[in-house]
Amino acid sequence: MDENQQYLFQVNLKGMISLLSEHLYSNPNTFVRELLQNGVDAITALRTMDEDHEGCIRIYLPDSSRSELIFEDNGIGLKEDEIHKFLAVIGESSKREAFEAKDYIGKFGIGLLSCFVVSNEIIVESRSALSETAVRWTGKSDGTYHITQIEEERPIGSKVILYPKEEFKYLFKPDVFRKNLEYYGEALPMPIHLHHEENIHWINEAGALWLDPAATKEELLAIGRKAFNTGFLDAFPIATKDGGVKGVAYILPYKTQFSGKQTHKLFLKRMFLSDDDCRLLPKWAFFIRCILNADGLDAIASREALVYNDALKGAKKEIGNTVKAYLKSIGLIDHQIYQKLISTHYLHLKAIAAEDNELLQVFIDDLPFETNKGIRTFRNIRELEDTIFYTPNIDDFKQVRRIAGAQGTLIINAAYTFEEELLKKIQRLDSSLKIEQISPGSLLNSFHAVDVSLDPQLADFEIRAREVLKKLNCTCSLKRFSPEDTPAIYVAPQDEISTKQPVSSNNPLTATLSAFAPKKKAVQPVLCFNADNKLVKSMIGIKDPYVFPSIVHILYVQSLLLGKYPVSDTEMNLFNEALHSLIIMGMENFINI
Amino acid sequence: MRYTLEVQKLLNRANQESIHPKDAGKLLVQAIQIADSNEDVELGYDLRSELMDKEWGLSDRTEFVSLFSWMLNAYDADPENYDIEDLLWKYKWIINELYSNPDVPLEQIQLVLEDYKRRLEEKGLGIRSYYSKQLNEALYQQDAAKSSVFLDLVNSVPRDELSDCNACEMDTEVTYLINEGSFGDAYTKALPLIQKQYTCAHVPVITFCQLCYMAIRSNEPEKAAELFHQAEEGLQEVENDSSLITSIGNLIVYLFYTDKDKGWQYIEKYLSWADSTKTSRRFFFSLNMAEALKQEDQEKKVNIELPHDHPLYSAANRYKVKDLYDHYYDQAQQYAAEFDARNQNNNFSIQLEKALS
Repeated sequence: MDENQQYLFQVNLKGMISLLSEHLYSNPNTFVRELLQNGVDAITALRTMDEDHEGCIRIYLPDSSRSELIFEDNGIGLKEDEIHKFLAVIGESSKREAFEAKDYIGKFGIGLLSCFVVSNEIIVESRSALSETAVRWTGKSDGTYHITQIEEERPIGSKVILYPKEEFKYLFKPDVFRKNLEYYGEALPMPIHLHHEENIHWINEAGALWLDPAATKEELLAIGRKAFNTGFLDAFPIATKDGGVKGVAYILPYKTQFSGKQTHKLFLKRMFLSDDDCRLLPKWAFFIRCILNADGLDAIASREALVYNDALKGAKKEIGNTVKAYLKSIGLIDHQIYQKLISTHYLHLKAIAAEDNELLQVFIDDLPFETNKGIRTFRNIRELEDTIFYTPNIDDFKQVRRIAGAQGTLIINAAYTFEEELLKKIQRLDSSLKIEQISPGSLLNSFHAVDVSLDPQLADFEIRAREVLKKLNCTCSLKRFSPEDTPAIYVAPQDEISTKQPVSSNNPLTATLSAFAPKKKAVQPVLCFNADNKLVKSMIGIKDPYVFPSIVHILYVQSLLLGKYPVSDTEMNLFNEALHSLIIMGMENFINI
Repeated sequence: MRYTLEVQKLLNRANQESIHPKDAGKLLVQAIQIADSNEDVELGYDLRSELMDKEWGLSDRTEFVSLFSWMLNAYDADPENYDIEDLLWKYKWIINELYSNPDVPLEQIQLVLEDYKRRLEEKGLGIRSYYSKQLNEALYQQDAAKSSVFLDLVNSVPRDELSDCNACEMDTEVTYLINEGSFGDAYTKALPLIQKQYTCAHVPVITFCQLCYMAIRSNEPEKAAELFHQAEEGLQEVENDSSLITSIGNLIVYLFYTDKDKGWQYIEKYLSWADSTKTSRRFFFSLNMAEALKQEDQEKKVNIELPHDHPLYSAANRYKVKDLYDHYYDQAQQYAAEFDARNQNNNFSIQLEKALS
């Protein structure tokens, strides 16, 4: 054996074709896009030779007069040697000798493969602009093909002829095919005509008005309504230098929360690419839907997304800036839209403003916040309050709002992470404001202390109450606060998850837990009695060893309920038993009288 | 209203696609409180499991170990009720978490490791993951001898349900080669990851980051630039995952070698991700920060916005590079000392010295 002999390994062409055609293109509709792309590329290539050439694509569907599909363009066409390259280029990299038509031929070959999904045979009849005669290429999905000369005279251009497979015949029905053509080709710059029986339908007659700088806002809104089946609050144009992105952004008219992705319409060189934004929009733009065309970006191999490159990054940045610029100016341009924008999308606006100082300045006064006194704009809060208090989580807010309300203090519920960031940022930008975090604990500390050393009665009350509460794992304090009708307030450390649970003897983690304990000292829950409250005052005189604990228990559970804390079965039982004892004791007293 | 309905409402909100993981965590804590107060252990278990999933993507995982400890207790009390593989998978996270806290003594970690191994064996599962946890730690410590011992041990047992996925194991091997000091070998090994043949939650993003760092330190600026680009692209998909802070640290070092302005932008953007708890994540990030800032003119003053709770924070937003450098250097040194005391070696101090040499 000659050791230097090199062998070529065999590739099963038939298998390759089926692999490429069925797996590269997951969606059987793809062939429509690929045929359109071939036609568009061919016409574009001819325009480089004759810029006045009026390109046109015609599709003849199978009907009573024919069983095949004819896809015809009047583009540059192919010469015989170019047609031979069809298969030669499959799998070859994009590096091939430059031709005016760029890599039209290579794309043609690969794109055509997708037709084997729906047809066992593909015929291409083509006359090149550089040749007087036309040729016919007939390819089969088993990998064989032959070429014949066409004797009759043909105009310049190409015809692709497909014979629909039985299982895909439905794709060639006029309604279905038309929808697919519209889906991919609605924005293409050359006319596309669909022929079926006697009917001719101009697919892209409406054109891409959204790319026209002269389009009015009403026209843009009408396009948006048609494209997304929903009305919009507003629309504004987008144009970037990087990536050559042009189009329209639409503001959704309803709240979107943070759920789900919006669908868009993204075109690449006027061919539909995706209903995803393909990372062109900033992440915070949940309230925006776009129709965009990119002339200077690249698609990935499957043509379903964009390549993430510098041009895309640049375009993304420009789009982000355009949206921000719009947001900044809309208040001056149309106050009504500005108001609607805020009332609908304030959550998103807050999230953006927390990251963008300029936007923050623009919007802050009009942004609404949830407070214990209802929804208020920041302007209103700022004008009425000397110090602006906020709670960084909903639990604290629930606890604090009632007490604070009684004392006239306004509290903002900054439950979302970005709301807290926003408030801290405002404080940082405007030192004349006083914005402070408040917690049930700090609120408790602001109450008037009661000096029990001056009053042995009170001191005794405190000791006895503490004794009762100890069994409930709760401490006790005595203060004066309004409202007077609130006998006691329960305050528990925030965000604590209970660890009450029988510990498994097999759990070696128990020993490690102290290393992860928060560094701040553990706060025990407190039941704070109001020394100004009538009930508390009369409790001071009650020394009965059954009555006193019962009242404490009742106040304890009542405070839990008032503070909207969860009440466990044990606590509910405690409450019921206490009430029960009081009733029995009341009955006995009644009988004794 | 039934409490399960309340919990479901909270869960729906916590599982919205674009919610910040911290906000999701807050909602789950509320849900857990409801389940606990209704003494619904199974629900409490599921919710804790979900909260762990959320916290896994955060650098601050304050509740991590206590959540899991609770789950382990619940499991042991009633093993029939829960999925053991899911539990053991989370056990793996916990082992990392223990290693990354210098206050946990080695003996305790050893006990936990043995408990993990026992549980694997009792269920008839392989112990590859038991070794890979120790391999990971040896790699963090850049302990060449131990790394090679554990790499052999990992490979001495077959893959199983609890061993790391292909992508993660390959990333581990890349780290091994990086520690060995050969960029070329590491890069070659990483090719299937770079080409995204294998992917996982953090792979290949973290692979790109560590290779980018290694490339710039090995004087391979073109490769580094390419890797940086890929890392940035990958980060787009995990925009709120602050557990990646150490990988970001790698990128910051790269930027201070190549594009300082962008480096400062990165610092401003990501500094708030550096967690507030004491972890090895914080050590590695401080080390990278010191290393990056060392490339900058120490006398220069910069305008950046630090997080308001940063020890150096000042309202004027103007800082001297030297002050920032000192801060991070001191922090790295202090952590190195604590970890070395726990680990009974000098591995972290050596790394710090090496990075700044």
